[in-house]
Amino acid sequence: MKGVGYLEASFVNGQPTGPEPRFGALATSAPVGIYEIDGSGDCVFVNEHWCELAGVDAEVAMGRGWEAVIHPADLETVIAEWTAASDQGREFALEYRFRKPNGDVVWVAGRAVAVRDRDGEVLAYLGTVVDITDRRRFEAELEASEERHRTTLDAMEDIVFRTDLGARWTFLNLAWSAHTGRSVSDALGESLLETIAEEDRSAVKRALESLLDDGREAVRCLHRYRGADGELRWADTALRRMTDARGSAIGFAGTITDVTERFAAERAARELAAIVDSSADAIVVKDLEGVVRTWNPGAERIYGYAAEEMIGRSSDVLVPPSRRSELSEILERIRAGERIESLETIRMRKDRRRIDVAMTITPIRDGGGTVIGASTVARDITAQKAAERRLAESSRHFELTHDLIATCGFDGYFRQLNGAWEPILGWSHADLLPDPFIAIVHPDDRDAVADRFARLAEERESIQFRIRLVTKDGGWRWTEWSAMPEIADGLIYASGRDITERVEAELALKRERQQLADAQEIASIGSFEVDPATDGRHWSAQQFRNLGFDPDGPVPSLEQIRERVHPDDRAEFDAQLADVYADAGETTFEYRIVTPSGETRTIEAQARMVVGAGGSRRLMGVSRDVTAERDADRLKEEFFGLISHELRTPLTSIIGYVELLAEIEAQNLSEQGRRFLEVIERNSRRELSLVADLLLLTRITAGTFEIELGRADIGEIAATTVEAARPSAEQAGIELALEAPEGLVAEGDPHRLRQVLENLVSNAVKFTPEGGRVEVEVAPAGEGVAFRVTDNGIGVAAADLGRLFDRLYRAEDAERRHIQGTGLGLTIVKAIVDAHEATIEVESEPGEGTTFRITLPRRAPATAGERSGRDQRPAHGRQPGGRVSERG
Amino acid sequence: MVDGNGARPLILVADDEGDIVDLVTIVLERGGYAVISAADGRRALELAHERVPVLCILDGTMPGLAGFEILHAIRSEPATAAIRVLILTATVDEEREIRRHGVEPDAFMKKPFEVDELLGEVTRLVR
Repeated sequence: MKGVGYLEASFVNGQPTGPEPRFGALATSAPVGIYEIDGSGDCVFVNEHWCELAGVDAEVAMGRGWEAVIHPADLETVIAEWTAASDQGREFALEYRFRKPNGDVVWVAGRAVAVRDRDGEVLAYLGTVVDITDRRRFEAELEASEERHRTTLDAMEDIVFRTDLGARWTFLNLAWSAHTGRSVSDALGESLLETIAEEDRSAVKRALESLLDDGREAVRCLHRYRGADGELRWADTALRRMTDARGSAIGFAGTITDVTERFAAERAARELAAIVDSSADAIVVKDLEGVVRTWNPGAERIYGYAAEEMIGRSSDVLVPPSRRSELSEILERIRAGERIESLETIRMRKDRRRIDVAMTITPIRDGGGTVIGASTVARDITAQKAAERRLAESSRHFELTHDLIATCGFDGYFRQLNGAWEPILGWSHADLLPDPFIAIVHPDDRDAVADRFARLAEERESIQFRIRLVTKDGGWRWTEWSAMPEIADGLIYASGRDITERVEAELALKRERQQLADAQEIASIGSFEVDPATDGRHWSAQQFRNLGFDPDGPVPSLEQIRERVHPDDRAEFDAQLADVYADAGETTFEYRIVTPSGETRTIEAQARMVVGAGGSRRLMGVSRDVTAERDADRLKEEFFGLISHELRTPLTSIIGYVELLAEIEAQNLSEQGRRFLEVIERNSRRELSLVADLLLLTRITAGTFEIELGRADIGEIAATTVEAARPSAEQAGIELALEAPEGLVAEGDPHRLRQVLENLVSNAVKFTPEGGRVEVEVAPAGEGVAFRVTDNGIGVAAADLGRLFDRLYRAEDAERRHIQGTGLGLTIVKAIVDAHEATIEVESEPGEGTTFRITLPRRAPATAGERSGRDQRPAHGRQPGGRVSERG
Repeated sequence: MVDGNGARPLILVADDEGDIVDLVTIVLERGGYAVISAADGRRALELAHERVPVLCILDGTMPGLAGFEILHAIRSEPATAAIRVLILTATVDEEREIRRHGVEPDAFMKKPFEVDELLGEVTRLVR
């Protein structure tokens, strides 16, 4: 078939593609009319349906035959449209009529396209026709029906109107009532302008005039009008001039569209845009490929890119390379319609700096609900993150510290505790959290704690306090706290430290200080410390009292002290101080103080210059109020003086007159009388000696025995002592030998040392039988001088040897043998030896003899003797006890 | 014993013990001295001023004025400052007394004393 063959060759832009039998069959049997006309306007093909529509056979249509089929009224129009479409190279489209040979008319919608060769030359036109007769009829019926027309208008939301030239309503659809709340019938005849809000009325009037005067066909204007609810509403009114067949204006027609909601929506959108623009957050819209569509100033601030740089560009650049996969995951979830909230991640600024961001990503959907993009709101949380990290770090500190850290509510319950509680107090958090914290406060401290808390709540300031906390094992610990309220949080932040050891040390120190102060007060011992560099002084309370100053007052200056020193003692006081300052040594001296009330006190001071490691010097010392002791000493002395006087005075007369008697009156006495006189004389001398020993012993006992250090020529003392003893020794038939080199001078009290020798020699003679021998030997001994008294007498039993120096002790042997003596001798010897810091040794063997050896520690300095006053020292307190060695 | 004028040197003896005043007086007169005596310190000081003896032998512990106080008074007065003084005492601590009164006697002798010893000391002092 020819037509089919043509179609086969022309379908793709006239490019022959080879025979297409199926298409040829379709063209033939399709339910549309199909035709082909060649470049010269001759029909070359019609299909069967075309023939049915046209009511003619195909042969009739060929050539120019088709023109006869077109309704004569439409032929001109068809040819004009055909020509225009052909000229313009567009599709031909026209509704026109066929008139069948039997007179029937058929409305068709015709379409045709040109088929061209490669040079654009038209080869043919290919067209279709569709029967639209039924539609045409329906439309005609619609137009014809006034009622149905109105119904359509009335169904419209916009007000549709017509007016006469005076702008008075001639037609209004039902939308009028809906918008204005008034009936159409009431409104007809009223001016359009009355409906317009007063402020917009002149503008609308000008629009109407422009339609008449300027020849404009249509105008639009925005204005307000009073709505059904009485509120002013916005309207968009389209106005058109209506003309009659001759072109003369006969009135106006138009529509009024209520745009109040649209305006509100637009304003909301503008406001939204303003919010987006002013937001500190980055608000970005992206499509599903991640390409940025909008970019607000917040985004520019956070990411550093300007909107021009980012819009149309992938948001990839914001993601650090290490997180690229994150972006595709996010897009995946968005495509699935998921909203992503508060995603915390890291983004990269234009300057490559990393920032912490929190993002919320919401899918954007089109009207049909399809996801077409995403809006991202991102907040820069870098600072917040840093703060969190710092907080986390400080939390670590809380756990590391040995301090107790707690957060506590004003209700008295713990909120948070660090890890130090259990190691220090034994309580676990589980123990502590359920109870008010007061439960672990020592009962004695609870009132104080309650008081502190009241202050915290009222004064809202940081406070410090010290309390005891009870430990789980029933003990308690001292803790020192610093607490700070945070009223806004309703919390108290507190940090405490275990100071038990410190407090106990402090208490112990306090106790010791108190004991020391008490001891000082009891013993009347004051202590003092002076820094010579600054003359800074520290005095104990007793030091103040000793010197008659007020313990609560300031430490007096040296000059103030000096003023109180007894005038007679000032020179000595100054000399002693000067010595200790100069020599950095130690000194002990006494001085008297005259208090403001006139009382005189005797103060014994011991001072020592202590030189520190760095050469710093401090004068430290103690002073003792020895007034009472000195008074007692003086009383004792006076008593001894009295006793001595009272005992000696009669003896003085006895001995004196006996002597006179023997000298002057001897020739007047009988032989027997002279013998009696000798007995009196001998016994009175013994009595005198006994009195001397007794007084000495009393002093030793009272501790007031003193020696006077000077030069003691031991050889000379030994020689004179031996000579004095010689008569009685010879009388007893005892040989007395002396070996003493000259010039052995010891530091000592010559008078007392003589007493020692006299005692020892007298003892030796006493305890040595007739024919025996007593030797006295003096010899140097190291730095000092030694003397020895040896006899070959009865000796001392081992049992007695240790008690030899006991007061009034007499050896059993001496008792048995009725050897005369009081037992005072060796006691006095021992006291004198001790006072000299000398040693005494005794060796004895019963029946063999006894040796006493005394060693004086120092030789006398060449100029000794002048300073005896200062060197005078009490014998007590110096007890370098004599050494006793036993033999056998 | 006589002085340059042929008179015996005058010695003042003061002691509240009459026996001892007598004893000393006997011993001194036998030794060739002129002796005046007082039984208490006040009288002794008067005599010292009135008679200006060569030597005063004073008891260390008399009622009224004791030996050292008289010594102090004598030494303080130019008219009597040259008088020698011997203190006779039964108490022992002459050092303390010297310190206390700030004056030192020419001699010191303890009671009881040997008659010869006293005479020897007096002779030494008067010479």
